[in-house]
Amino acid sequence: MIYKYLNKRAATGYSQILILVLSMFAFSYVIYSSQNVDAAEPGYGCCEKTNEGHLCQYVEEGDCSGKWVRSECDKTDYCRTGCCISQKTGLCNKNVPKLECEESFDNDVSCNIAECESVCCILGEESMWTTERNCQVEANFLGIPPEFDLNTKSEVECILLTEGDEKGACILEGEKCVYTTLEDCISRTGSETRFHKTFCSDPELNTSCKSHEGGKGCVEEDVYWFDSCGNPEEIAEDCDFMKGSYCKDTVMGANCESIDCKIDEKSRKNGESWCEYDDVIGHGTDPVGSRHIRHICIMGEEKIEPCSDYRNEICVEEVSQTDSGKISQSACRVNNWAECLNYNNQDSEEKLKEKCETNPDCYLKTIDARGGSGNFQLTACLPNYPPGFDLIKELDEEDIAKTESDSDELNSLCDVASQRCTEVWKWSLFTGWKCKYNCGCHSEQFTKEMNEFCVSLGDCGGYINYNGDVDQAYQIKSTWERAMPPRLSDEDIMKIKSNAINPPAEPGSDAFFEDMNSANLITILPKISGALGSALLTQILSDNNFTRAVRSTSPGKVDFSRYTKEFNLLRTASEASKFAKKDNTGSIIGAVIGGAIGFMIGVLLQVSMMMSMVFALIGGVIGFFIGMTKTKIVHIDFNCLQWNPPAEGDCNKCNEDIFCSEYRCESLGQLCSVVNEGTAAEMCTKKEVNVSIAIIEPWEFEGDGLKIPTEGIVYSEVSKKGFRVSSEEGNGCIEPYTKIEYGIKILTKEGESQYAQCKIDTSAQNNYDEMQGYFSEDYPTAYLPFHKTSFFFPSPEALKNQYNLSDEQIKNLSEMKFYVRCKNIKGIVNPEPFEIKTCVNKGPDLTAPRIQKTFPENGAYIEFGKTNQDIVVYVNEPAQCRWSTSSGKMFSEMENEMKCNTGVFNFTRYGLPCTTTLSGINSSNNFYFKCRDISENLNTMSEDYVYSLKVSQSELSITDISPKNNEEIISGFEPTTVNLKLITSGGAENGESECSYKFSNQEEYIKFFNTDSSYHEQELSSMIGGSYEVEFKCTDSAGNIAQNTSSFKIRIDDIGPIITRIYYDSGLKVVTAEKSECRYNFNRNFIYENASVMESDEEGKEHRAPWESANYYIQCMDKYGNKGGKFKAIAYGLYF
Amino acid sequence: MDVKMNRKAQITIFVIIAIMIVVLLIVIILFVKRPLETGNLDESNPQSYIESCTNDAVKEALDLISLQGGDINPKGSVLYNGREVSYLCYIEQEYEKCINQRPKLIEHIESEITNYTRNRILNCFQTLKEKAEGRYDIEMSAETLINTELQPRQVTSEIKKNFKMRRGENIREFDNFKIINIHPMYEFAKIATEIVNQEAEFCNFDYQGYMILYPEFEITKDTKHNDYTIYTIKERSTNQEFIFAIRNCVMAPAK
Repeated sequence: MIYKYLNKRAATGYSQILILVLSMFAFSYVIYSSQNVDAAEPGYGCCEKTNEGHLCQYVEEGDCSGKWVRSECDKTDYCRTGCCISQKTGLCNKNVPKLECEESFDNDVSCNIAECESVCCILGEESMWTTERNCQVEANFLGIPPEFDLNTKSEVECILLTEGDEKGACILEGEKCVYTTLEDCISRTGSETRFHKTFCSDPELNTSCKSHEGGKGCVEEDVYWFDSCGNPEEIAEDCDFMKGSYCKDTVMGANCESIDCKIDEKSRKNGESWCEYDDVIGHGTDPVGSRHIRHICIMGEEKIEPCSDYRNEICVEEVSQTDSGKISQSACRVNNWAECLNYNNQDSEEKLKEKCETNPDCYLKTIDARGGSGNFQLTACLPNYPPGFDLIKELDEEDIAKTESDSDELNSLCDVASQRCTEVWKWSLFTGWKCKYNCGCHSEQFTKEMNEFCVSLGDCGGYINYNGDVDQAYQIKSTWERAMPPRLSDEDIMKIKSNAINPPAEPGSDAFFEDMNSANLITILPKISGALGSALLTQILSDNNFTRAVRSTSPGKVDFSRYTKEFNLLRTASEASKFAKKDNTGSIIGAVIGGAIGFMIGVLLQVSMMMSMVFALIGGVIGFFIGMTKTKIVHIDFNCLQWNPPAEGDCNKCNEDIFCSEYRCESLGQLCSVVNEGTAAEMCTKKEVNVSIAIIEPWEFEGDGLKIPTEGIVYSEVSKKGFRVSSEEGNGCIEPYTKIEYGIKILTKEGESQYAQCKIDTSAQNNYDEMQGYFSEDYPTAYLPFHKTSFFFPSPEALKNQYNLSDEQIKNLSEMKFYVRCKNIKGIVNPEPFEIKTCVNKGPDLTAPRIQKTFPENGAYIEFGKTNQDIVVYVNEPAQCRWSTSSGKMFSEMENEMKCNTGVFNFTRYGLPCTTTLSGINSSNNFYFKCRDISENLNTMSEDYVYSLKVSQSELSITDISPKNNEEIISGFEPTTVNLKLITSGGAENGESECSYKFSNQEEYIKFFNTDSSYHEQELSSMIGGSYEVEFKCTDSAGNIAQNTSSFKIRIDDIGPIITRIYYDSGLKVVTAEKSECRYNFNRNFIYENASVMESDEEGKEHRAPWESANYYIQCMDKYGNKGGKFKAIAYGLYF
Repeated sequence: MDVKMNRKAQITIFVIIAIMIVVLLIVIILFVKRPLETGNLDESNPQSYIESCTNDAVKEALDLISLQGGDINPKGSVLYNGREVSYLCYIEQEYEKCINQRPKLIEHIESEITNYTRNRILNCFQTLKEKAEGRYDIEMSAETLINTELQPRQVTSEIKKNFKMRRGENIREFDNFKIINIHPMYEFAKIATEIVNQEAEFCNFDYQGYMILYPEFEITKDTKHNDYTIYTIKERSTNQEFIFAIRNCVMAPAK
């Protein structure tokens, strides 16, 4: 009854809402389709049943209580997933492991099979959208025959379909009466005559039921009168679901009540949804701990749906005009923040801008600190809604001991905004020191802009949590005090909020409510994945490409300033002096002009030649000083760090919301944590912990292949005030160019572990906030009980040669002292700094250089037909390198010289780079390298470093494609599943490659789900009828590329077979227009599955049944599961 | 004299009233304390007794199953509001779609109810036998077949057990007991199956759209700690609920 008012327009409205949701599904869908996380994770395998009772999970063997195989679950027979069809209920279950469904399992995980196709099932008054089998099962329960409306193709249409059979009074024994359908009445009484098209209370029927005496009650959406027997009568109040009213039964009786919502004096319609935010949003201003919240008005009540925490989802909203006014629709959808960072890898700034500006989750930020002339201009695509981080690190000793700083991964996203600006200052007699180059870098604006960049990346930088607590999580360093940019005040930081956009967040480029038909759905899904990026989100988070992309914007050089102030100052002085040498032409010209003028004055004064020469000399000296300039190179580093919760925070703030979570709770304070998780008393409270002023001790750890301090390094001179980091060998000083690791542990006065944040500096004078660097390299700002750092130093002798240092400076460089202070979680800092001493062997350098890494890797494949290859060789110390195609040659005899970077400030994590182009690869694949250092001893490698490259033997090619070009795929229903399959051959490793695909309307290639071998497969489970052109691209390890395309068509055959003839031919013979299976029964209401199967010929078009003199009811089904209508054939007796 | 008599009579009346109150209290206490499992014990109507006794057991089972994701004793579950709730779809890894943990949910719930009620039903028969013995000779078959079926809007339990009552020549024999419990568990299980199917395919379920199409049900989605999601399906007309958990498409925090 409720639906009788739901007209076609309303149905369209609902279908649009469904489409909105489908679009949300699509975001999620692509998460799955694009990733293969943990595929090769060591120690993991497919577990039949975990210790916790979960089926078919990819876990470690120790977590498994059932069968465990070192493989992904999809590759095992028992845990591969598919569709499970319940034989009892006819319901289908998606993504079911095979072991749970042996008897009725289909490989199609999405259940795109005939048995699972939903149809419109009509059972008496009700219609429902379910499988045919389930319809029959429910019909059996109800004892009524099922009916199928095959013309109805959607759930919405089906639900709107039924008006119900006409009801009337059914007279039972003893003046009793029920208001029911004719069919029910016949089943109750066995007679049609007892049914009357009127109410039971009609006086003419003489029943005991009295009109209206049962009061009012609800029948679906409307209010009805009821008679004394409890039968509904005429409508009392006509509620209108579409206009926002619905029958509600209360103790006061039934009446129409509004199902719209009144929220803060604002009326919201039933089904309307909208977004709310904790604070400002957009342009990177979402505060730490904030969450996007979706509100829904449904049946007069407001429901709250918090979007995924850590701002992994954002709430987007769009207002549309309907017949009844404006209505807002919202959705929690995946935040595409990672894609924004990925855009920074574009070839050109135009492309970057184009991509960034069209993605509503990104914004473009330009920082220009050139101040006239310079090069510090940065344009970056940044997340509009920065992602949240895991703020409180709960790491054990082993986690901290693991070295992450050496991997290619960024320690934190915040690192992306850690940038160095180099200023050039000049001095002259008349102007003094004046900045000439990148002069904006020492301004407050620089700090502000860089901090905004930093804050946009996530929970980084100087910003606030959703409670307004500020943390200044950034560092600024300058090699010259005068050129130090000022830090921001808390007030400046609060001003970042003014950058925010006007809420709500934009839905995206896919128009959520635009009328989409099935033909363009396939074109929209990939668009969504491109625009909203879940595919890339996953890809990025699991793929090194992302780190490569962001690394390209981050400084790749080792920051020496963290180790020694002496060194840092020295660096500036030495580089500046180099510039000064280059820039002394002014002095020389001045001297020449001054000398000439002096000489001319002498001549004019008619003094002696000797005096003229003296005048010339004086003039020259004056001219020299006037023309003299000095140049200073100043490095200004902005280090973006992870935001940290305040030491003392208001944990209770979290409990004010119903959506308090770990993330929100922990953002409020270092001691805030969720307690009683999973119970009704779950809440955010302050942890009671034992803290005191940090007691610092050297940290030793050994286990699982890890050792702190590094093998061969020991702690000595250990006292309450500090310790020394020494080598076990020689004089205890550490060999140059050797990276060592050491650590400290933080204890309370009672000797228990406590959490603290630690800083390190070369000056004991600085207080905690002024100290230069954080002790921990991997988790710089984190509060941890253990902190690890590393030490790497070049040879003081090499520096001496390179920068012409004095013995005193060499001594200062080789003997170092660091000061450490730690702040505990209550904000208390140890007043006396802890001293850590170490020394570096100052030489002479007796060791030859060492090649540490090459790109491409040694033994790598190169493209087919390529004869030259650019390579990079990393050496552990400043050196010159050469190469030859012959082995055993002396360094001096080697024909080819590499271009080596010997500046110690250019050290990368792999060493100092040397570049060259190897030629003649076809004739010889082995190359021999030798390097010689630049120390006084000119130590040279005695043995060749043998480097080999393998040439691909043929081109990479795609040898087989499925669906084949111009293939027509016929399916009985949509969406249907299509498997893209490729076979590759040739190339570097017999076709082993990574393949991607894209449809003609897509911009980006999408990686196959199964790839990285010579067989590549991608299941597309939401395909609909239409023509498709798909492009394939495969790349192998050598960089060989193979491309191909395939055009195919999907035809949906959803029409049952047509019976073209029925006649007698030694029995009943039925001819169908297509290959089918036919069944018959003599009862009109037969169920196809239970009917007798006719014998078919090979072609499946002719079907036979024994001849009987009866009414045959025949139904045929094609191979796609489409059933035709029931055909009645009357067979008469045959007389011969 | 009359006054004395009246006073005595008055005291007697008071005593009688006091005794009556005490008796009434005892009766009430006894009535209240009577164990529920005996139900409306009428040994002369075993059909009614067994139905009533079984009905209570089925209700208990339904109450537990409704709040615990379809399981009497959840395993592979999460604590939610102080109660273990089973995962109907679960994946350990992040960024992956969940694996359906409970296909054929309807059959599973039927089996859970059957297993839970079996001992209670046997107790019902035993209690009935004990109560009726003395007045009747009771014979019971050792075999008890219990079949539970979820059907639209009801849960039916069918017990096949031979129960024979003999008093002299008079024999009454019962073989089949059918109990119907009005409960939307079938609808709950169907909706839960649909939710799991959509979650397993799309990482999401459009509960808002579902509620608009089917206003008789209210669905609540509660995602906890970026980890698991609790779905609650409520039938508006009866306020009965079904709660289950899923862990699906979990997105890790950035770092």
